[in-house]
Amino acid sequence: MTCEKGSITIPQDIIIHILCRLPVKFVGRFRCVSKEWLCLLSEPEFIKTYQKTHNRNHFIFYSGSLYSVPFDNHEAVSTLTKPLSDKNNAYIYGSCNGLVLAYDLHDAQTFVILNQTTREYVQFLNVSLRSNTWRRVSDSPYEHFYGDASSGVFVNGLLHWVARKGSDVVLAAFSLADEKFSEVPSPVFYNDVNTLSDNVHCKLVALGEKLAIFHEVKGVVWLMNEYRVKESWTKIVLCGFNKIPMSKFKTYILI
Amino acid sequence: MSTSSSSSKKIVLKSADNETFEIDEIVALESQAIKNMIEDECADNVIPLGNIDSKTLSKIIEYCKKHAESPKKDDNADIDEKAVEDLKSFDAEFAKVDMPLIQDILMAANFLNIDNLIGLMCRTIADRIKGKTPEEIRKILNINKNDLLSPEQEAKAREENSWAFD
Repeated sequence: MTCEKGSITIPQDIIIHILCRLPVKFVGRFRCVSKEWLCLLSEPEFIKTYQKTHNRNHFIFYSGSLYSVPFDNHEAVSTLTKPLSDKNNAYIYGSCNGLVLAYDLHDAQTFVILNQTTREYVQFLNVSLRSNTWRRVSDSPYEHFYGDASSGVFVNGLLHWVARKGSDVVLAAFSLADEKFSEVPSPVFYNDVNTLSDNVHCKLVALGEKLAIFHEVKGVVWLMNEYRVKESWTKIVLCGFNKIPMSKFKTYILI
Repeated sequence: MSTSSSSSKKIVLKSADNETFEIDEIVALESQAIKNMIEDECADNVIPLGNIDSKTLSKIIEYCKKHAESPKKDDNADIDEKAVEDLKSFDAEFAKVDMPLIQDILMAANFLNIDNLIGLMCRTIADRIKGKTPEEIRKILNINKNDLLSPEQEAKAREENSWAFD
């Protein structure tokens, strides 16, 4: 094409909108273009804008290696970088801000954090806490040994769990800022099964920056669009979810 | 100049090279910047656009006209697919211009705040640069030679992003 002959000059604030529209492979490649681009394309702010532009939620699962499937196309399964060796089995712990935390079942020392957008990952051996000391905060008024007693889901500066309060199943939240517990309203299910009580098949996840409940048999997501607004819970169906080639030992996360 | 409904209000734009364009208000409203001027009642006289030449401005008006005439997505949930396809192929044809004109349209669309057009131009540039090597990108986008990575830095960036070079 002859149009490539003329070169152009675009200010940085507009360049960002162009680079946000590139497939992820080229984002990685173009980090070599210049110092400015290396810096720009590595900034958390860019990654955030990129994720927003592409605005696609993904289902991440492990089946020999880590795979990613966009919500709206179950056939578009792509392999993420294989950070864990072939013989190993991974368990996916959770996700936060587009990052996935996985854990090597054969080598209990190895953790991996993977960025689904940039396909970058870091592997590390042990979680080191800055002060290396644990501090006891207030006692939880909830019963946390419920369901698979999974780790808290981080949304909006709070950690969330499905927990029990007496005979009720609730969404418990713990604020990291003021170290207080509170409850988040759960969805109204109408004729549907109460997803929260179906703890064997349900998982609390952070979808984008929102709290969500995923039903792994139905392939249905309940998403809380506005934090703490009961009416804002919305149902999303993952089309063709049953066709996703997940291994029997289900380990997955939604981001 | 325009032949459409004579009763509609007209807006007059003047390009950097002093050419005037009379357009229907509905077409002008595609630009958020002009829309604000109309709402503030600052658009009664000729609107001078000192940084947009007539070639670029006529392209922009062509785009705004087409988009103003097309049914809007939020007007009606079931607008016919033909209209959507029609607009898509218009956009594709519209973007078949050389890079310097793409740049001028993008900068003007940014100035006039025409969201869809900014998006179209950004997508077009993204499509044209995505198969290129970093070396080619530097040429196309006039990257300052003083801003290049040192050979060591470049090797390091390549290694860290080796997944992208497969």
